[in-house]
Amino acid sequence: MGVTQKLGDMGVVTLRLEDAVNWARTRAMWPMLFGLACCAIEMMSAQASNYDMSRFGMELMRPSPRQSDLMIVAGRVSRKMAPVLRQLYDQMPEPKWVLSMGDCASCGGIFNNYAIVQGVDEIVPVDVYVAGCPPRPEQLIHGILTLHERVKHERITDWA
Amino acid sequence: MNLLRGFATTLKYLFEDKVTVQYPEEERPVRERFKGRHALKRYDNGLEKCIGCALCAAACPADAIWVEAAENTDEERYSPGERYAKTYEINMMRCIFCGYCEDACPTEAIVLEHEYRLTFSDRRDSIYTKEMLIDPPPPGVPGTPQQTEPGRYTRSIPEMKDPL
Amino acid sequence: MTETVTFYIDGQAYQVAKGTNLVDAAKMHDIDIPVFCYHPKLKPVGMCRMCLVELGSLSVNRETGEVERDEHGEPVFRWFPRLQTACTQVVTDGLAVRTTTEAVVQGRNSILEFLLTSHPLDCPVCDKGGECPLQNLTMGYGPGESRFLIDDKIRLDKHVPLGELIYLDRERCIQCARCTRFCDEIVGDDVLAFHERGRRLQIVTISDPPFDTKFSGNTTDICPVGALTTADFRFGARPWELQEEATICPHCPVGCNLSAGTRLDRDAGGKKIIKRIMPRQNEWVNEIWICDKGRFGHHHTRAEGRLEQPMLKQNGAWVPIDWPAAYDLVAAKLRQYGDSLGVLAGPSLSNEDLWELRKLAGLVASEPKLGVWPAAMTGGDLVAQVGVGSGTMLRAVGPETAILVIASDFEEEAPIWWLQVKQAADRGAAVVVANARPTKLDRYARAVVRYRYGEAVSVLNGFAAQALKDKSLTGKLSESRVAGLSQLRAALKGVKPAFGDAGRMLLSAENLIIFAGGEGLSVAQHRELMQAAANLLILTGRAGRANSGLVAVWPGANMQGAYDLGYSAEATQALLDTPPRMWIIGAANPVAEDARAARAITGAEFVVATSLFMTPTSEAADLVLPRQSFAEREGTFTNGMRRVQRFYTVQGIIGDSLPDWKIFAAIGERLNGPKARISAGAVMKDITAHVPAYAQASYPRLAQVERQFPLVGGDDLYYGGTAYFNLSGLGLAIPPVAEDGSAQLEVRPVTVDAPASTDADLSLIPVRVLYDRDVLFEPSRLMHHRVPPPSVELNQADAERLGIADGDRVAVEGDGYQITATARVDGRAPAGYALLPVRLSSTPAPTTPAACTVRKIGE
Repeated sequence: MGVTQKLGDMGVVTLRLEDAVNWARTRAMWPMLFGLACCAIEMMSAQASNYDMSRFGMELMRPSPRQSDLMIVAGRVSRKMAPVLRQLYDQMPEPKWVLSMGDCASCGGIFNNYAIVQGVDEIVPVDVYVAGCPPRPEQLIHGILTLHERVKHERITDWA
Repeated sequence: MNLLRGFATTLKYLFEDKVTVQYPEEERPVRERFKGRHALKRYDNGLEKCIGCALCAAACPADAIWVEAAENTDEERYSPGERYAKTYEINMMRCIFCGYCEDACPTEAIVLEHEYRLTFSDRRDSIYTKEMLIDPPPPGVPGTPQQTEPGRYTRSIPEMKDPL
Repeated sequence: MTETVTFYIDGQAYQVAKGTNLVDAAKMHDIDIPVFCYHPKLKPVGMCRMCLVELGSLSVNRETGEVERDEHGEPVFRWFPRLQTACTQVVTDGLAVRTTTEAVVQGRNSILEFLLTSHPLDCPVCDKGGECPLQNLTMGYGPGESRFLIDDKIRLDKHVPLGELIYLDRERCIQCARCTRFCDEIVGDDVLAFHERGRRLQIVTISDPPFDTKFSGNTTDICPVGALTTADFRFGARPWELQEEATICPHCPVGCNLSAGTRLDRDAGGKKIIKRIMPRQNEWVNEIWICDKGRFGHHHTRAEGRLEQPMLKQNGAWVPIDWPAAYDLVAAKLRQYGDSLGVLAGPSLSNEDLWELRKLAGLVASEPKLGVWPAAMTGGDLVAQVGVGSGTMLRAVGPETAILVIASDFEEEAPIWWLQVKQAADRGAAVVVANARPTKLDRYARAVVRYRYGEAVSVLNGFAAQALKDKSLTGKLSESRVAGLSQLRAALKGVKPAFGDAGRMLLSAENLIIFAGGEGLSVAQHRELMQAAANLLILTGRAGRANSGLVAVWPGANMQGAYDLGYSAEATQALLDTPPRMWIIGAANPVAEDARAARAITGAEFVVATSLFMTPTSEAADLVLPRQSFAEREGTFTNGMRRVQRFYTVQGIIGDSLPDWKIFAAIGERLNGPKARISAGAVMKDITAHVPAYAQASYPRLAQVERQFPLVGGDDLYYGGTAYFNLSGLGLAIPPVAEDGSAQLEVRPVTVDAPASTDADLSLIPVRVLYDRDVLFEPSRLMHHRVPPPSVELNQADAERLGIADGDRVAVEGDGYQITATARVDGRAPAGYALLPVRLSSTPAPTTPAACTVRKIGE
């Protein structure tokens, strides 16, 4: 604004750097293909043409953690799977986000037993939890939009 | 030849109607029997249907429901039965929306409604208290607790309209 | 070996003791005959008709007298044409039962259908729902649906209060009469009755105040439906949500086994708290009963005002400090005042606490003075000598046993023992009650002996003199086994045998149990009483046998344990005579209870008290350490019959409180004592190594269980009520020294002090009441209706002389104390005595007899 006032309209949009970066991040947040159980079916459905997550720039599910920004933990995480999940998370480049999809990933769900991690937030920091067993594709998209809102409000000081 | 057929299929769909639902701008209606977020119902006179029997908690396969009951008095009446739910909490993150609570409820107090947008950025937010779950009283009717005249509500469990 | 008979259930032959009830006999072989009205502890009535079976007998050829057999060689039965009630049938030889035939199934089905015609569908809110015999049996044997219209159901009052403890729901009642029969047969309190007839039949209470019995809660356990529920648990939780934890009642020397139903509670900050207390079956101790004090007196575990941090008094104000600072302070003070240290152990300290406290005191003093509180009774060492022998089971004693209850208001002091002695009297045991005033047990006593307060010993001496006349009883005694025998014989020569009938009853029975209380006796007098009781038992050869021996009716749960670990009331008296400069007071409240103790404690230089609440004793202390109640920790209590019983952690810890043993051990560490043990079990291991009597009482041993009959709890909810299976230990009865045939015993002549004549008007006799204002009981608000106001009982003549009428406000004064109370003139107090119930007044009164004056004061 200030720039426009001083220099006149030069056909240039100005905005804060953090807004630009956040915009970029939310518009191309590539999820990692990480289906663990039934939730993954709904995740695929959210990716398919009926819901088409590419509308949000989530063009590709990336099997490789090195090329993804968002880990959607879709399904119950067994104790044996936990170190694998953590390793994949560690391999993702910053900035990275985790979305816990469904009850089992969020808190163990009905599997309140020794074999299942009672919530993936025990091993990775979770940004958004999506309830449901499994959640509808809309619910997943709602969760992703919730995450987008969060990311949009991130400040430059948070990045460090 | 097969290659051409494949391209033809693609071409055909190019001219058909788009199937993509433009969520969140456009929402696809859910089925009538869809099981989403719970609601605790009230009678027309504003009293709560829930009598705090905790059968929903007993039926819940995920242990998502927590009920603590207390006794009604005529001075402070919440439900027409002997007891009411003093605490009623559902952990939405644990709930698997199976509807067993609905089936177990003797007074049809708990109903799974159609709301499905349940995402949380803090896991503490996923616990829905009684205040969040209960429907507002019908217009022009006081909420609970109500003061009622003695002798009006004498049953342990209010009469159900259709016991069969 | 008891005689056995053979009987047949569904063609299969079983053996069972003669005289067994058919339902019990089937149950012993894990065959269910469903019942509602029958209860193994009650006489059968055959009211509910649920136990209908087909009965028959072996077909015997009249000519040959042989059992007829079919072509396969199986015996042939003759069947009665109609269904019969199994509960009214005693098993006889050759009895045959069919429990699965079409007729029986039809019969049960119809009975349930009829019962359900007027039973409301309250199951979702009923407190019994989930542990309800009617639910269980309907699921097991009932019809799938009713042919009766729901509108036809009978409508009666819901939740009628029967007193303030129990609610009655008249609609739910199925008229099995278990509750009325419990009150009539077992307790003997005529408080419940049937009113009207047929479908309109109702339970009513016919006493004033309503349901006036100390055992009312038991009726809710045995009620087969949700008709009787407790006000305490009302809507507290659903039964299936409760987690049952085993514990021991901390209130009286009986040591009832309890099961605490616990659940997380939002009001308690999400902690696990006790929602209700139920009896836990232990046929050796409390069977399946508990008194209302035990059932409803658990609120102190989480009451308002529980201490949560160590508090130090600085310039008159309380400042919270942390534990290490508190330990350091006590250790420093112990170094300073160790040569003048007084220890008072309260009645609810566990054996582990007492042991660590003793070890701590031993670190600074070579011969520490270890006192108990309340210091009204003594003689625990004599109980260890001649206590009841192994295999003593009060519920099984019959005509072969005589029971003497002396100087005790038994129902007020040990309700479950009272219940069992009363039932023993019903079974034919010779119960003799000796007291200076009438008590409730007099009703069931074969003989009642009255003496003047202070002369209780003469009663026992009279019995002993009588025993000496009978050479068959005392002739076999030898001086080598029993020290002091000749002196005793000589001393008793001059005593005239008295109370002939009572003495004959006591001496003619095979066994003799003496329950000795402390009413009207100073500590020294009580020592004489206990010695006289021991003399009598040793003289008559009744010591060291099953169902025979001496039991002290202690004023607390673990006084016997305190004696076994070296504490005594004599030490307390010595401490009060020459007050030390420093006190350690564990879980006791002497400042509120005794004027003399209050003076001795407030005058000390440094007082450290462990306490649950800010009691007057804690107020008088310099440092208060928050202890854990019995519910928050593990430990053991030794009951009056020297059964060591284990209690478990039940609920979440309040604040930073710690178990007493941990506190004392941590202080000991700072005085270069041994390193603190890591658990109560490890402390007990220490005790087993150092205290010979407790050598076997390791935690695993205490947790052992065996199959008990009747079966209650578990899957058998219909049968014995909702009391709980004992899965956590029956405890270990420690045999008395006398049981060892070679052990040296000692008798000692005892003398009777003539009651001191004083110038004062009256002698004040402290008496114990069950419902008092003890710190463990006061927080149970539900029971406040039952706690009487501070009162003093006067004799009619004394009252008239002093111009006092029943209900007047009076001042009771004496050396160093003054109490205002309500006068009661109801004919219980003997002339010249004023009976003062202890722990009722907020001002301290004597705990042992004292002189007093009583005068009327204005309103």
